[in-house]
Amino acid sequence: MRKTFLTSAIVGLSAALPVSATTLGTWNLGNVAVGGVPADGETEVSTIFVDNNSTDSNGQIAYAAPEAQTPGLTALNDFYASGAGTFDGCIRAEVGGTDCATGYQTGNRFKLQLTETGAVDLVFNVDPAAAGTQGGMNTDGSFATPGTNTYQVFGRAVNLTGLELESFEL
Amino acid sequence: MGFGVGADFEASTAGDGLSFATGLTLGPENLDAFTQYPFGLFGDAPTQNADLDGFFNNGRSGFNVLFSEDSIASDGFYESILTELNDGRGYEDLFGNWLSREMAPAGLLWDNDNDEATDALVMAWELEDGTWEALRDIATLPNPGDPLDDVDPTAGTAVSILLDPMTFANEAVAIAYFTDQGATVSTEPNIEDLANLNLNFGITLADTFMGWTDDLTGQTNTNFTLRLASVAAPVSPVPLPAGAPLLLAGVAMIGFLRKRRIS
Repeated sequence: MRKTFLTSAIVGLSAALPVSATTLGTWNLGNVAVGGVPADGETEVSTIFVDNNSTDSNGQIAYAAPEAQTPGLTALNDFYASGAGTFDGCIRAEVGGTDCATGYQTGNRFKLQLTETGAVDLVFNVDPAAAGTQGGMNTDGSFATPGTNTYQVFGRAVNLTGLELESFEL
Repeated sequence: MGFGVGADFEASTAGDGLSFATGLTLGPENLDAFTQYPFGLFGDAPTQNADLDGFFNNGRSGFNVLFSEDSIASDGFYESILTELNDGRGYEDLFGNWLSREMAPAGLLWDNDNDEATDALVMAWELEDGTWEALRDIATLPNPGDPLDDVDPTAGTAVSILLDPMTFANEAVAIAYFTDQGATVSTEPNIEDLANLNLNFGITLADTFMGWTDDLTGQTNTNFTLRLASVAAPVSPVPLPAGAPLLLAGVAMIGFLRKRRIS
C-alpha cells in the first residue's frame, strides 16, 4: 500500500494561533479481540490479529486481576518527570488510574506475549495538533519539549513461541 | 515503528513526526532504550528498591539494542560483570538464547513475606542433569523477637549465596532442606521470568505529525503502529548417525566417478 505522510506546513503561523500539540490517543482496537474481565487471580488476553480482517495472530496482551484489567494496555497523557526523563504521558498496562508513574513493582508493564515469531502490531491513535499550531504545552503550563510530546513505554515481551529467540526489532 | 498493519505496514521514516525518543536516561547507563530480564533473576541490590541480588546473577542481563530514529533492534546479549559472583552466570551464558516459557527450568519458590501480592523468591533451580542448585539460602534472624529488628518475625529473609551455591541430588532433597528450616517452598515447573524481557523506551510525536493517507482508498488515518517482530534462533541440526559420513562420502564418490565418465 502506498502511503502519503501528512505534515503541518504552516508552522510560521504558530505564534498567532492557540497553543496545541500532537498527543497520543487511545489504543486502536481495529486488529484486537479484547479479552474479558478476569476474576481475581485469573488471567485474560486481548488477542492481536495480523491485520483488521485476519483471524491469524502472533501475539496477545495478557492481564491478570486484581493487578490489571481489560483490555490490558492503555495510553495516557500525563505530564511527569522521573529518573528516566521528562514525559508527556505513557503506554503501560491497564492497572487503573491516570498516572503513569505508578512506581516500582506495581505491575505497570504491559505483557505482550509473543505466541508466534511473526510481527505483532500495536496501533495507537493520535490526536494531531490543529493545523498551523505548535506547542506541546503541558497541563501545568510548562513545556516539556516545545513542538513534541514524548511518551514513556513500560513494556514486557514474553516468549511463548515455543522457540528460542535470538533477536527482535521494534 | 511505522504505519498500517500486516502486509500493509510501512516503516516510519525520518522527518515524518514519529520517532523513538532521544535524550532519555534509562537504565544504569542512561540510554534511550534499554532491555533487561527481570531484576529478581538478574540484578544488583540495593538498586531498584530491591534488597536482594538477582537469583542467577548480581549483574543485569538483557539484549543490547541498536537505536535509531525509527528502529530499536536487538544486538546480542549483555551481561553486567560486577564481581566474580556473576561472571559466567549471565542469561546467555546459562541459556544461550531467549527461552520460550515452557523451555525454562523448574524452580523452588518461597513466599518469604507471606504476601501473595508480591512475587515469591526463587530459591533453587533444576539443572539439566536433574540435580538442583540453591543460589539463595534462608538468613538466620540476627535478633529473633527484637521489635527493633527490621525483619518480619513471622516470615523470613533470604540471602544470596552465589559464590557458595548448594547442590542437591534431586527436587525432594532440595525441598527437604528448606522445609527443615521452616520455609514452605513450592515448585514452579518453569521459572516464568526467564521468558520475560522488559522493554524500556519512549516515543516522540512531533506537532508536524498529521497522520497518513492510504493512497488506494484516500482514507486519512491518524494513528501509528508499534511493531514487534522476533526472530527464532536456528534449530541445531540433528546429529548424523555414526556411519553417515562414510555413507555420504561413498555417494559423493559415485557422483564424482559418473562425472568423469561423462567427460
